[in-house]
Amino acid sequence: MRTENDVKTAAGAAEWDAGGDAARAIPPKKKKWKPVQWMCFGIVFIPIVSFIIFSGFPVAISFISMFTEMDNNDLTTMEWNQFRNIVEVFHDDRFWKSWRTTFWLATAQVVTLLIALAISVLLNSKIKGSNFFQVVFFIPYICSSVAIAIMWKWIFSTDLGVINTILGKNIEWLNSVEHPSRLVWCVYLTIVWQAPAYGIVMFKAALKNVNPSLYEAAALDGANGWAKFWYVTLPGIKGVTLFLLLASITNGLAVFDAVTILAPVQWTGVAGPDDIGLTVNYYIYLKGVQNRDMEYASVISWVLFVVTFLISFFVIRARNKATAED
Amino acid sequence: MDTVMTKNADVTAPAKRKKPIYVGRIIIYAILIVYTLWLLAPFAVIIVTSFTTTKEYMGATSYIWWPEQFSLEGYVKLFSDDPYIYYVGIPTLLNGMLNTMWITLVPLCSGLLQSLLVAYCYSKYDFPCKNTLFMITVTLMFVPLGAFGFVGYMFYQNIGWTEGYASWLPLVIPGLFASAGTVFFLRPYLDGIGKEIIEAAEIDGMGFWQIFFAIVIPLSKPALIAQFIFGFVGGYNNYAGALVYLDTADPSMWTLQIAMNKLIAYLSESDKEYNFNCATALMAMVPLIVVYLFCQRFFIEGITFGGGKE
Repeated sequence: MRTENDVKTAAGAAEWDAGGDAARAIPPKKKKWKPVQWMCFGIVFIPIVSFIIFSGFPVAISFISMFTEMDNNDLTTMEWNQFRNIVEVFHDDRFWKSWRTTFWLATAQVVTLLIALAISVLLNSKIKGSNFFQVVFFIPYICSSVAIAIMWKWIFSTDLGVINTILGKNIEWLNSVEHPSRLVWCVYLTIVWQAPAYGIVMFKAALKNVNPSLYEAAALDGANGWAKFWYVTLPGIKGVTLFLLLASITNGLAVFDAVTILAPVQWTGVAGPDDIGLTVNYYIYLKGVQNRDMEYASVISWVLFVVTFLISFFVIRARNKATAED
Repeated sequence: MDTVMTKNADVTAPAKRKKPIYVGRIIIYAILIVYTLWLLAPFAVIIVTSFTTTKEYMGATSYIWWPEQFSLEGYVKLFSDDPYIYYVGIPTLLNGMLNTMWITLVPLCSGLLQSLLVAYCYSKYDFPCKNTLFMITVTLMFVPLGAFGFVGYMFYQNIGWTEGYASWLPLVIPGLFASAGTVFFLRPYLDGIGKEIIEAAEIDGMGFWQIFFAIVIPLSKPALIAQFIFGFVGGYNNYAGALVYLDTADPSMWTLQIAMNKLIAYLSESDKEYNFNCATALMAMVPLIVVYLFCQRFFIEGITFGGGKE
């Protein structure tokens, strides 16, 4: 999904060309379409129809289900229930709490971008072996977040974990009743460990394409390293930065894999000590899949959708503004 | 950036400027090496544990940095202690790997070829309502539907795709078809190919399908590889999707990520078999890492394809 946005400008240009083609094609009004063109007409419906079936229907059903009550998700037993689900969700403490953890973990994405930017600038500084470093730095991206969470769980384990061995203490990292926030910081760390990989590679490719003559011009104007970075490098990679921001916000708000491993549901039904490991997506999973209350989970999903959509909308607008300035 | 600085320095004061650059380089290397260690250290930790015997951990009060004796016990347990092996027939993890392979590759290849076909139609042919249809496709792509991953279950449950072997279908069928996002990604690439090649082929008497298979597919290889790598890494590591849709009552249907998690959950509860845990996590990660190390050029070029151009 990440690649979908980054070709936006290029495709925008292509669309323009296509528009031009059509404009030229219109005048001889009644055009006779050849069979092969009708075939194309049919073929291009594939993505639209498959979207309607495999995304449109599920989303529509979840929308309707918000206002209903069902037996074990069976649509034939659907019954209107006076917005009870929605009222309940907004009075649900766990729901609000899950947003707190989600936003908390989403800030890890900003840290991630800063690390990625710093590392890629260093990689780009014409040193020997920068390709070797890049190859290593990309490894976390291809590892599954579940395996990584298992790995960190072992590192954070109380009795035999590496961290406690180094510190020489017996600190409860993942299951501390007095300090539940430790768990969130552990998840935070695994995200910050894994997520910069993608940004490093993207930033590095973008930095390579910043026009070198701009640096020379800046040097002639007497700009030092920081000034060059601020006035030449950053504007040059604005597009990629906003793209990465968009991708990481969407991923950041959807944290799921890591918390399910590091904060498994306990016998009391809470995720981690004091329910601190509960993210919005995790709550959707627990309510919808485990408790079979999909109507309730639908409401939370729609809230998550709206929040993600609004934030992405503002980032895209900022991005369009930024590209328009160039 | 550095060469520019050096060049500039040479003009003004060559002797004075040399030293700071040398120091700067050392600092850069130091930071990069520290970052490398930070990324690799967790792997080292689980690799060492995967070779340490359970016996050695029995009386331990802290992490064992270096086992007295490296043993393959943890890896042997993948065969000997696997509680589902008699049911599945082969080690559950291996079976999961095979399931993941076909669940990922079949839709990925089919979806990619179809998306290329659709992009080819948009790029090289004129047909009724072309621009409207493209606009619709693009709009669909921009809706962030990730939030509905779990509640989509309702739809598939009601069409009976969540019981037994049918529960593979939600993971496979939607991907079989062309996707709006991939079409959107591939079209500018095909636009860059140039109509002349197609026209020349048409003059030579090649038809729509011949041109597609003999010209368009070979020419769009870089873009296809880029999309393939994204799709493959995503599919290999897909956990949430399989967790929700797969009927996990049947161990022979588990994908790699599910199998790994289930095995670890089953064995670690009672026996504290740390070497088994670490070996399992490693066996799940290592295949893709090895593929990556051999084809890293394709991975890095593929990931930055299109994105780095701005």
